[in-house]
Amino acid sequence: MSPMNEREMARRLRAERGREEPPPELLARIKSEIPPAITVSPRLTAAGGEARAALRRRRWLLAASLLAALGTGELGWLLMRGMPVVSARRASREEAAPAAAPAGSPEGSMEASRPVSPSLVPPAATFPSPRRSFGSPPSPAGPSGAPHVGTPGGKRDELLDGTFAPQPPAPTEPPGLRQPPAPPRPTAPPERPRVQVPAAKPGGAVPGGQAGGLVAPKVEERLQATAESPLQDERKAAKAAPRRVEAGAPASAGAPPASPPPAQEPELAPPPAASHSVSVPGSASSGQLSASARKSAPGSAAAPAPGSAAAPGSAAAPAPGSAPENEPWRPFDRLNVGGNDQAVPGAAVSGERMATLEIVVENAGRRPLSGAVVRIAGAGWIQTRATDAAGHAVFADLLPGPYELRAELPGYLPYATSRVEVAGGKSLRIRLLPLPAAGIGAGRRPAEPGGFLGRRAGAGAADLPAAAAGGEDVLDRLRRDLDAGRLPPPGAISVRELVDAFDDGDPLPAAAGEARFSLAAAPSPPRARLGGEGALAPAGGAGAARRVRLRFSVRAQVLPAGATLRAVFSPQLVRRYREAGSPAWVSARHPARLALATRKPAPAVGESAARESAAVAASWLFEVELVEGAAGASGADAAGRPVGAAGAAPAPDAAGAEGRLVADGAAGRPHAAASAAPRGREQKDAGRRDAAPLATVSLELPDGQTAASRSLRGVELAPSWASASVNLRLAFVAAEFAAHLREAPALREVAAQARSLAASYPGDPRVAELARLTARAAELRSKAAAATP
Amino acid sequence: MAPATPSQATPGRDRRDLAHASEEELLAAFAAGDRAAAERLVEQSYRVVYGLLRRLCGDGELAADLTQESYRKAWDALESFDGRARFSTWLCRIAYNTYLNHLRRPRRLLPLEDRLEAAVADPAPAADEALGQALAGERLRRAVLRLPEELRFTVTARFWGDLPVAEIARHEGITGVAIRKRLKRALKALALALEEEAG
Repeated sequence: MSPMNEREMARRLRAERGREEPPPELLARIKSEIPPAITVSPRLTAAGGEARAALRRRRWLLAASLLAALGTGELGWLLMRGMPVVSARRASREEAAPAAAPAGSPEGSMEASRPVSPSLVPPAATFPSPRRSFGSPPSPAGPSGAPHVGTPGGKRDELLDGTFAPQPPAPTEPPGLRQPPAPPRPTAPPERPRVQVPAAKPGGAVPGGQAGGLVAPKVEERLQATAESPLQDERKAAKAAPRRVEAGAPASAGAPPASPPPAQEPELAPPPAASHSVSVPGSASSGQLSASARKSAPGSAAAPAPGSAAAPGSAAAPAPGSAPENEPWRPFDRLNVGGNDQAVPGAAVSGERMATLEIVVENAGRRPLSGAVVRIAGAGWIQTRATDAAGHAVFADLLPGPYELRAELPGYLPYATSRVEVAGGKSLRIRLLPLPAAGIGAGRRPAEPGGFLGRRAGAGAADLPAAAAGGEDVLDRLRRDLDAGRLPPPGAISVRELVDAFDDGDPLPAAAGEARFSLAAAPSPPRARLGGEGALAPAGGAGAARRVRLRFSVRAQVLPAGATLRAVFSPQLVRRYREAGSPAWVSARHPARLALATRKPAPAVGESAARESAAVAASWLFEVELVEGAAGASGADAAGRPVGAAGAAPAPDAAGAEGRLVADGAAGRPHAAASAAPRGREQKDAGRRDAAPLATVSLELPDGQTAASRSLRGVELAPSWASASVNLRLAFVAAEFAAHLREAPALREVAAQARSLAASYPGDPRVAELARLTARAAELRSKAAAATP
Repeated sequence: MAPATPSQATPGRDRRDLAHASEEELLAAFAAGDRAAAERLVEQSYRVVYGLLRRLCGDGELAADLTQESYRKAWDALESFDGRARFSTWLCRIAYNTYLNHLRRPRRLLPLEDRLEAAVADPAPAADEALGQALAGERLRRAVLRLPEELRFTVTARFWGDLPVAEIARHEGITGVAIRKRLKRALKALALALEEEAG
């Protein structure tokens, strides 16, 4: 074989590119995961500005280079010609000078001969000609003792036209001599915009009184140019009152000793109604609230102090983050409490309504906790409240924007979230967990009178590691290891044990179906529940679109030892299944079985049955994969057979249910009808299809008696993973966490999942704890990986 | 009045504006809450990312999953994107790393049936040619994956990600000349590897 050259190799590599188009649904899948809000590196926006600035610099350099080249060329040309042109030009200039002097410019002669006293200037301050100001004497006080009212611009003009400056002040002429005004340039165009200044003040200088009228148009142009410079444009864009910038421009542009303008300056917005409550040191009065004053957003006068009742709609209120250099925030986690999904930190909120944030602090049993210290920090200040007897803490008059939130109560784990987006009036519910000594990991919550269960009873006996048998809780061990900076040894963390550790034993959500049953061994009143819930698996991963995640839960106050759960899957609907965290897939033809571990309760007088039974609260998680060939939303394949047939005619119910499932999964709609909706007889079939059981879990007692069973149907599934209950999502993330801890890497993915879950449920302490642990584990894993050569 | 959809977050900006917007502008608009800008970013770049991953992993379904995962990671890490290179270049690097992570990831999901069984050769004569092409492509893919890391990314980004040399150089922080040298070395190594395998 002849050796391939590089060109041939490159050709072959290019030929390999782009043979296949991406799947049509890929774009929609990616778009569906676009977060509602992001943070972009400040360098990125700065890079854009730098690029534009660099472009401008390049243009200037190019222009300068061209000019230099032209100048050099001309110089060289002149040198080559022995400089005759320079001398000729000089000679022609000298010739022209004496000739021009007698004729003169009309204004030059007139201005020189007739300087005008300021006392003769009409007080309307609309003196038409800029040259008239040259008549004012250069000294601070005029010849008649009037204060010098020239502006720096005017002085500059005098210096530029220095021929007129040394002219001695002429005696004051009667007004008649001044009328009519000098012909050529006396009248400025009336439509020319003028700098608006306040009314005259006796003895005052600019910006009040006559001085404003004497601002030459040149000065005015410069001021406007200053106000419209790029820097000012940026400020204008960042602030809501561009006219105020314009009004402040004369003073900042070099107007003489500017005393504060009168309070009735017309263009300044009225001060907020509650401006007295602004207690920030160094705050400026409203009259002085210029661009520079408004620039200091946090803590400036524009920000209402804690507890103040700033006027809604106050234009002076800066947006949190409107001055990014003062932005103290960390990257936020897209948590949005206010319901404004599109709110972006730093968005201008001028004129926006103030927000109210109501915090409810409660314990894991959802009882209000009083005395908890809730602190929010944002927009440059911190507010702290203590919850009342109802667990409420209200923060009113907040500027909409992001806030840090922290809640503490002695004896409980503190709760903190990095960023809460506040807008409008919203409430946030926080559940504090007891300290680890008696926390969720210990999980041994005492039975609450009104509660269904005191405590979960635990995991499957077969799955319990040796350490757990010793009585130490899995979460305690996990916390201890991670907080000590090490990962738990492989196999130390059981999947089901960790899942149960985050199962708070609460009643099943309303959406989850449950079967209530009685047990002969249970004391009166016997209460036990077997429930199930499910959702389509999250997008991502090969074949995830055809997977469904199920969670079965058993809650029983008293359960005989040796009770087992049995799960049976419909082979017409389910191709295979696996327990969460387990790598092994099992064919749906084989049922699953779980021995429930019961804990021996404390002996109760007169309750002999309780001696051999105990409470149980456990979750059983499955991920099932639907059968192949069910891609059609109509419930039938290309050959017209019901989907799910897989070569054999299935039961109509099963086939229909699968068609429904797949339709939901493909379209991502909550139980929406398929695009090709069944009609007539098919509608009847569709009704039965929805009732087809996907899986059935039954509780079996030691004597072979079945106590209860619970079936999950396709119609009961949550339409998407995002809409699944927190318990379902939490349980699967915990299972994934345990599996990764036990097996290997990819902890960062689990941590990301937990972080996402925490963002969705900011008030749930279990979710927060799991997110913390996964993040810690991922950090340790990455450190260990980095240390490995 | 119906509430504004996320795509309408930025008033005055319509699809036509977005169609001609640069990546920087789209990112800025996205940061300002314009979801349509992010969608436009995705539309502009997902084919390249998918094509790169499709060639890297040789499996369309897996490439789609990894593409989705890459974007997920990109949104999470967007704050670290400093604009040194283009967004699509940065995204290709994420996709490349995602694929490497996928390779390192232990197989937790064990398929009941071997997927490769489905790839049964059709006895028809025309299939031989197709099969030969597929085999050649697979050999080339494996040869690329056996390249040293720096050469591998350069080759995949240049030929499968269709990124300009200057962009790769900017992202890698080296000169374009160095990238061309890498490409030259990589092509030589690939040719040698394929020759050895063939003969």
